[in-house]
Amino acid sequence: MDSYDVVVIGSGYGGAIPATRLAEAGMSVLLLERGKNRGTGDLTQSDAPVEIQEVIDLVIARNNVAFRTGKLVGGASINMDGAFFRMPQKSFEARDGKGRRYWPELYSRAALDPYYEKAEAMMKIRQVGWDEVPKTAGLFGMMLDAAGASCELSRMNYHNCLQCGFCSVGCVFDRKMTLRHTYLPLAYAAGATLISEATVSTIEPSSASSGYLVSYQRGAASTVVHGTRVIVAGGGIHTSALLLRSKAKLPKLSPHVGKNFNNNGEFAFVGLVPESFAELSSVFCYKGMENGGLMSFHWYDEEGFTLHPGAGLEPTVLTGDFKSATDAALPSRSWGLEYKRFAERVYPHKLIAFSALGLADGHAEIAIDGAGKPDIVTTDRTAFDAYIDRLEEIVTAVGKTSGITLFPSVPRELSGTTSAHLLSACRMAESADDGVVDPDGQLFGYENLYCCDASAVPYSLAVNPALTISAIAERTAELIVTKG
Amino acid sequence: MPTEIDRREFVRIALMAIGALTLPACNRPLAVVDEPDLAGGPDSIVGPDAGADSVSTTDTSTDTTSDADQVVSEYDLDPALPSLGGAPETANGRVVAAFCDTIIPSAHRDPMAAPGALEANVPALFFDARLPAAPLVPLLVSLLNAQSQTHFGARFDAIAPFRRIDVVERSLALFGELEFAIQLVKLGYFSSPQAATHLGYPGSNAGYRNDPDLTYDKPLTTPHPLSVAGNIP
Repeated sequence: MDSYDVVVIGSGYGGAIPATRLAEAGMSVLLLERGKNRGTGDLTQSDAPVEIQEVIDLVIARNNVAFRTGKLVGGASINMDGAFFRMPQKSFEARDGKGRRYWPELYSRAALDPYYEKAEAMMKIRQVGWDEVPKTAGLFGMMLDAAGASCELSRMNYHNCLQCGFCSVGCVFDRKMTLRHTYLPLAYAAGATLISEATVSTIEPSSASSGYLVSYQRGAASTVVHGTRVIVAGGGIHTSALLLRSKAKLPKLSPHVGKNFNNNGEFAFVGLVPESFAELSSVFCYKGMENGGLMSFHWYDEEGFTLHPGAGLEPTVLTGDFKSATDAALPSRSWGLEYKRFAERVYPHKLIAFSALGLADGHAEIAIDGAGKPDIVTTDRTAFDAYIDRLEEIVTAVGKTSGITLFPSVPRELSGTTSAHLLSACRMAESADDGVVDPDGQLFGYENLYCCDASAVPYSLAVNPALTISAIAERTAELIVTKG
Repeated sequence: MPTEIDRREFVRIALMAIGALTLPACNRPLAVVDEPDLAGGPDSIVGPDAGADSVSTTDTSTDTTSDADQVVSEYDLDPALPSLGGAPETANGRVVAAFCDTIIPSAHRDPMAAPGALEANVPALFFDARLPAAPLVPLLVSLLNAQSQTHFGARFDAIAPFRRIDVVERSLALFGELEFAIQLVKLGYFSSPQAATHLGYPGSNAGYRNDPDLTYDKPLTTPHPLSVAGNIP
């Protein structure tokens, strides 16, 4: 049986970063990734569901789907929209209904700033310029300005972007500084071994020595490797599923595994822009980078949410829930012949899309089915629905100042777990009574078993989470190196 | 109606609902199609046969739609589908194709003859093992057939297209989860080359790189008073 100082499961931000740092520190590192190892030349510009499925994981749930977890070597860095923000201090201070802070006390903006800096430097994150903001995002900016709301130019890891509009199936032009462009080459150079298309089935403590046995399947072959340390970084859904599959062999695991699943308060809107908007005929909703390059913190202090434009893959913006029972200009239902005519009328010049991220409670938990595959179970939606109600009220009023009619991008029934931000199902906490992972990234009850991916983020952030996950991963790696 | 039920419970409740609702309407038991490859079409159905004639005679008092409010074209009366859009030639395949044709009507029943879900081969997506919808096909078919049998006395694919709209709406009211299937049809259609061509979308790699008319290239908003290079503290 092969043995490594560290076995890392998953090659997204929570896995690739510690794999790199620990390999650089001289440890033997095995990186297991269930996805394919696709280079830029292997990516395809297509928004067809079958092609998207090659890049983005669609997890079917009992009454929903969760999507946009990464599915290739490099994880979500391949398909994410490229926006990286440091989490404001207010988000670190978020508290539960009992007044307890979600984040462990040692976490603050100041405490994470050195790690934010490291990750930003590695991934070449910079603030974009107005000359990079597509007109569709410009409309979003004008809408906010008309409402008296502030808006920032985003911080992104794109360089010399060609604005082709196909970010979330992976940049075929090498303009997005993914983990394949930044950390992973350093990991390989330092001796880390990557095995792709390897699906880990279980983890168990080694009876013969310290550390853990990691069982994985690659094709028809089953393999067991030993890791003195194991880092679970399967992402917001699969980390929980793996731990739940391993629960019989890891009996001290926290009962919180899979609980508190949180979508970062993400809720997307599509807007129908009136003819009166300037230069409308030259605004094509599918042109340019999907993120749009803007971010508004205007409502963050008082309401706890941010807004950013983002068209997503086009013309799938037309999957939006456009309908009205009273407005004759709109279809009465968002499907059928009437809807088909509506789509022809409004596409491509009259649509904008944007998303909110907010400090909001989760309303789902991750379970596994009989085959050990992940499932998502909706729990109490009361708080989340109240958050969405408030959000819709504010955002709809903002749209009205510019004559823009807003609709949810998906029906309410599908909101909440259809997200790119899948957090907190193995959340970090001060004690095992509240979470799965201790403040240093180690699972409660299991020495040298770590988790520092999206699952460990304790609560919604209200900003894009990739940079915070990266900073936590940098910190965890540093602690492991120091511990030796 | 519970908001959260598991798949087995979904089927169990659906079957109970079918039994409870259909017996008074059809006065005989039903066979619910829930196997992907169950052979046969209308002949295999226990219940009234399909067709425009039977539609007009099997309405029940439970039907809340008002025909007087609807303009029904010849296209809306003919249940035949011009193709199954890549779905298998099975009972489930026919129902899924009829469902997709209801969500994005196909050229044969579009007065403008614009391509729709069948021309874009959307039904095939429901049977593609690489996508997550396949396990839900039996549930989708059961749900649609149950409502269709209950209210119109025939399977979903055998009733007139304008009745299918009513069935989908009734099914949605019962099970909001059906939105998932509607979204998949819309996603499949609007991402298809057929829809792109129809809508005037040039598709990938077709001229929008480095577009000189991409941006307004001027400040359009004011930043947050506390922001530093895009972050706030």
